[in-house]
Amino acid sequence: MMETTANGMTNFIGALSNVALALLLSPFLCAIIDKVSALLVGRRGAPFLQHYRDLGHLLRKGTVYSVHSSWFVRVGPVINLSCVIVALFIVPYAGMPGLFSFSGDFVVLIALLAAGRFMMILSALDSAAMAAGVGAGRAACYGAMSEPVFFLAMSAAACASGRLTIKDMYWVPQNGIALAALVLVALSLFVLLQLEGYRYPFDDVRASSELTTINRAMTTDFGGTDLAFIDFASMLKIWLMSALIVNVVIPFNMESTGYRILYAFLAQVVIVMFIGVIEAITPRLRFMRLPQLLAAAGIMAAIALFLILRANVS
Amino acid sequence: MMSLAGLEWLPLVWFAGLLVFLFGVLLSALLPRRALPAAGITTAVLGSLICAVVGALSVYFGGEFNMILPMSSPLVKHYVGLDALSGFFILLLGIIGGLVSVHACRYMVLETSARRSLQSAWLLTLFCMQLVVGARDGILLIVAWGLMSVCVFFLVAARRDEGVRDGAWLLSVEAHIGLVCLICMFALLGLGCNGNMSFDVLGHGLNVRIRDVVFLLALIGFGSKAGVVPLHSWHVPAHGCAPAYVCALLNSLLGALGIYGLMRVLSILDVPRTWWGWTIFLMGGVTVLWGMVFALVQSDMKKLMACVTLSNIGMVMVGIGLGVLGWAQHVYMLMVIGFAGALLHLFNHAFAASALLLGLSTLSRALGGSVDLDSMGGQLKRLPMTGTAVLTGALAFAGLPPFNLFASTLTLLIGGFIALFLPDAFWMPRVAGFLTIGIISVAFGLAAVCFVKAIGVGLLGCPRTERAKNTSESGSFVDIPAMIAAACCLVFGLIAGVLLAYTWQACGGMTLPPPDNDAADVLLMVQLTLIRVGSIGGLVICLCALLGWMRYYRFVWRDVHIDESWNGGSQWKMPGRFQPTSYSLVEPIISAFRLNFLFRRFGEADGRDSLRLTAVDPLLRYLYVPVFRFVRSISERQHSKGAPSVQRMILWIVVTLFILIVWKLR
Repeated sequence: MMETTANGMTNFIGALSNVALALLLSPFLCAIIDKVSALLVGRRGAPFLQHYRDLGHLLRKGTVYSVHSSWFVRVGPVINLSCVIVALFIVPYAGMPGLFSFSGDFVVLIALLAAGRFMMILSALDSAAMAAGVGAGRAACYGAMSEPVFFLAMSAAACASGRLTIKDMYWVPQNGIALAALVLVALSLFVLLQLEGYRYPFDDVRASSELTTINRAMTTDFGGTDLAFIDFASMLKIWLMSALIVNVVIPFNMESTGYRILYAFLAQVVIVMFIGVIEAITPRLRFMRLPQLLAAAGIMAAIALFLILRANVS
Repeated sequence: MMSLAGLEWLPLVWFAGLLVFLFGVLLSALLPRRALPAAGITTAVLGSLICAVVGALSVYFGGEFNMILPMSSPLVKHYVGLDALSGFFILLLGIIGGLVSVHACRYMVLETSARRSLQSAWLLTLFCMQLVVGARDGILLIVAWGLMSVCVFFLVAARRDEGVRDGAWLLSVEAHIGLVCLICMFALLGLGCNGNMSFDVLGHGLNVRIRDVVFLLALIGFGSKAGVVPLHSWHVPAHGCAPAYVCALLNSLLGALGIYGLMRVLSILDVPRTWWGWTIFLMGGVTVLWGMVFALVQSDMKKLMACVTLSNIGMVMVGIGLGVLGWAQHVYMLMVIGFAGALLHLFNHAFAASALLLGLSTLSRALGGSVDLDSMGGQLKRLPMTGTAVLTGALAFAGLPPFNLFASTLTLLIGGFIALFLPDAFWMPRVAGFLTIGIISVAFGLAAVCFVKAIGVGLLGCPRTERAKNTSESGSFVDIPAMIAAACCLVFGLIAGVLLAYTWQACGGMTLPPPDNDAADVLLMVQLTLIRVGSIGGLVICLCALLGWMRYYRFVWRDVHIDESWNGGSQWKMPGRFQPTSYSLVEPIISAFRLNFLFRRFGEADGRDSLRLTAVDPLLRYLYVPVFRFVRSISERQHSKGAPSVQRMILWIVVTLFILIVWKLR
């Protein structure tokens, strides 16, 4: 009894420190993306701490609200950030389960991310700005298309491990088929990471014209603290999705917690470096192509699920 | 589970509640016009309250108690009774009926001239709905069902504007076909019962083929009322022409009654066959996707809600299909999750639908009768309380945590995963489980887009028309029920784990086999999951409060400016011109899935600068309308020969009676 209490306490502290780590380091993770993509195209890039400075700068600024908007535009960014932070409490990190770890928790994770996005889209529409509606329509559309892909990928992971909790959703591939399934699930989750974090090839965080983007188009009428909350939420989403991929791909079986965290963080850095490389070498896809990319991710997840079910049969 | 011992008076109390409704009908006919709303609200709320309490008690205590109706006809005894399943529906009808009535009895007076008959029809509808659920014999159920259909017809046809005739006509066709199926079904069930139509003796000793036919007839008869594809075509036109408060009643309760009837017949038929489960499951699955796709392309909010209701009833059918599959294949954990999840979804749907539609009714009153999305806009700013109720209902329908419909969808989704994880021998539940996951994930995404459109265009941004600029809250107490229902959506999402136990208890009214240990474990697991989902919801709310407090009291409280929206650097101030329409918001997804065939374009010619579209139901257009035309051509051909004379008709009657007597003497 005493031991379980102590275990519970350790888990609790571990889960809280996971979230604290995410809150602290997610801007740094995004800085790595920017640095990599800048270096690859021959620029020096912004310093690693630039995102922290930007956030602090935005937090100190005031806000302008549209005369047409209702109270909703003020709460949307707050709810979005809350949903993402609570979703962080679900995702395990470095082999330590999240604060909420139960059967079916991955569904709640997907739904929380969807809830945050839903709130953001509605606040964008409430701001009644010209480009906001365009961005909102795009975000709603690609969000809707990403749900089945996300469900398929997580179902594949669930079937492979036979469990419905994210912390158990990893498997050590014993043969080629299982390895292929693992790679496919990781790839489709990676495409979703690019979408959730509003990154290339879905979206461009640095575009000068809001007409060619999703997130920037939605947030044209937001500024100050609200924009800080929105940006921070998308940084946290990159952290969250990369932690999810790390959790599926790497089984953490070392003893020392410090090594595990280091290992997980390095894995995350590798993942976001891939994002940076892709940003540097590919153009943003045309919007007509994006459903096809999502469909490709869905097909990868479906093949993975098929392989896993087939492997179970034999 | 405790028994009903010592509570034998419970059905009598319920019957007294029903008499209150009848008393209300009497008052509506007799009282002066001024007193109508007060009389309607009082009797409806009192009757509903009594019924709700009785329903809650019978779900809580379980057990079963039947009594012979005092007003039995001379030839046949009529039975009414309560068990957990009836109790669950009586509770639902009680709460929702009461809430909706408060709103409706007031708005009826404001909107129509036929207020006296309309209010009578309303109260009679509530009476019949309760009687359908409490009836324990076939004839009483058919009578109550038929009377309910007639009353609903009058409610739908309450207003006199264009389009009402088509919608109401389709509704009456549906009601006739459904009733004929139900009469045939009970006739078949009653074979060999010597005229006793009590549910206790019905259906015993039927052979397999007749049981199959009975199942199909029940599926058509009750399924058409629930609105299951392909029997749904009356749904959207009828809801489109009915007043919004009538839509609230129909959306939240009529489908539920169809589901009740289906569950009751399944219970009478006892052990189901596997293909019944498949039929229910697949029809439900198609309905979910069909409803969502059509909701996507509707711009009239009432029609949109009709489609969303279809989709949710489909979800309930998916749950029941899983349950029946589990029952037939002896996978009791699937049976438990399927039935309990389905009832939970039905319960949650009723609250979300009444929150949204009651709010919409207020909005429609403020907007002068129209709830077309493209003529709304900016209503959350002008009607903050009503808008919030509508918004909450929409969040629930979009399946977002921590609202109630997320919890019940999650239950069914976990049911799908449980089925998927079964051993290979159970390949049929495994396939159904996989399909469940697919259907729910697609519906989840589409629902979000659909309600982004509904809320984003209808409630947010700036007004699209002059009329929408000058709306305001009515300030009347009859707008409160929408907010109560909205609050219930949130609260029931937080306590869904507890509710699931009671919905499973409600299934105790069916003749299900007792669940084994695995099933009990799975139920407990899902309950724990839902409780954690509730706590996550609580955490989200707390975190929102904390961040909101930081946001407004720490960072920038005073430094807020109000100005025009940023409109791309344009020097013209054109609020409302640069905003998405209900079509443009969903255009990416419609063109991605090539759904353009669902639209008919119009409006380019009438000088408006926005393209307007109307959704076409292909099943209605290419299947039902040609069939109706064919039937009409036949009947017109008969008519052109001239009506048969009275003598000939009497001759036919005498011959028929003669044949019947000979057949009986045989």
